[in-house]
Amino acid sequence: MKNEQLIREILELKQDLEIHEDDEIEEYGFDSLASINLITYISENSDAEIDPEDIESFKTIRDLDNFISSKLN
Amino acid sequence: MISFTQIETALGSIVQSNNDISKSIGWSAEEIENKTGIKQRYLADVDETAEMLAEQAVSKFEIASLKDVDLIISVSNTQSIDFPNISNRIHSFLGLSENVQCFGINHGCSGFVDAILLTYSLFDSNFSKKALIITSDTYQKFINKDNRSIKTIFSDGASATLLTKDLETGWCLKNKVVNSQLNSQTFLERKLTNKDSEISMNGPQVLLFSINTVAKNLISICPQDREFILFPHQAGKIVIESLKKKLPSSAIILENYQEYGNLVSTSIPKLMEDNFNDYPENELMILSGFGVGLSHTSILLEKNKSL
Repeated sequence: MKNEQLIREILELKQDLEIHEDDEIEEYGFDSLASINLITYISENSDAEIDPEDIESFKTIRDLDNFISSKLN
Repeated sequence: MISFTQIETALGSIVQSNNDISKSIGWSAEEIENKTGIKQRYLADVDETAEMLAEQAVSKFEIASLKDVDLIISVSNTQSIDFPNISNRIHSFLGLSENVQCFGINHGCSGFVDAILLTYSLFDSNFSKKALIITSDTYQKFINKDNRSIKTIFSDGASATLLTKDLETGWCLKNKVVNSQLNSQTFLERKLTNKDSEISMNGPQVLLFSINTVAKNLISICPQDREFILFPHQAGKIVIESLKKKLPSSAIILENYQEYGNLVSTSIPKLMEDNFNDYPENELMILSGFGVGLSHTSILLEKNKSL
């Protein structure tokens, strides 16, 4: 997982909580606040535009990881 | 052409710090400020209504300066009385002539700019010469106490802006851009059929509209080679910082969300009240409102230099 630390910050997870790529993001409390954290980070750290449909498209931690990589690279 | 003759505001009487809501929100005061950029909010007291805040704002005028007003437009999403609108109440409150045209716009953060656009039309067609634009909202009354994504953002307040038709030294309307996004009306809404008529907001979608659609379209009317003052709706830290990154360097972008939060329809008039007279040499400005709808209205104004 390329962006594990960032995903922890977006989801506001404790450091000792294990996360698994195939788990669904809802299991880690992915909600509108986490979405705002994600949009904020990408907005502040890249010029990439986020499509409104993107933000509701990913299901698993892997999807989220890949999404972040696609926007930051 | 329009002169902004006087702008007055009145804020909710309860000043709420980040410490005050830290426990109920579940974030420390520092976390709230880091996330939102907001240091404090102004909340209307239990018996303080949008109508009352509007009266407080209007009361700051010398009554003599308002006696020949012929148009009152009010803007609000959160009247305590569904109808009539606040403009009628202010008309009677001031005891003006019965020839004054009064109407209201049920609109949010774009509403002030839309009301100015309407005023331009009525001035141009000679149906009006002096207008009073009232904005007033009390969003905090309709936000669930556990909704930490929006409880931390909004403030309650009202404004009264006196606009005078001024062909010599007024501001000319040079350009405008508007957007009304399809299928987004539920992203920020208050259903009267809901228990307690609470406001709901799809924060991510409203945020993306602001940093994508609004920024992209606002740029289309920004002068590239002349300095201008931008009075943007104070949607919050993320939106204002995004605008700073995307707009041309000719923009002087004003902000006060740190001190007042998001005042909804009163956001831009409050920003103008605080800053307008600090730029006496300013010849170009943009007023940019966006939010409920989802909608966006921005206007580019240029000071007349005929004299």
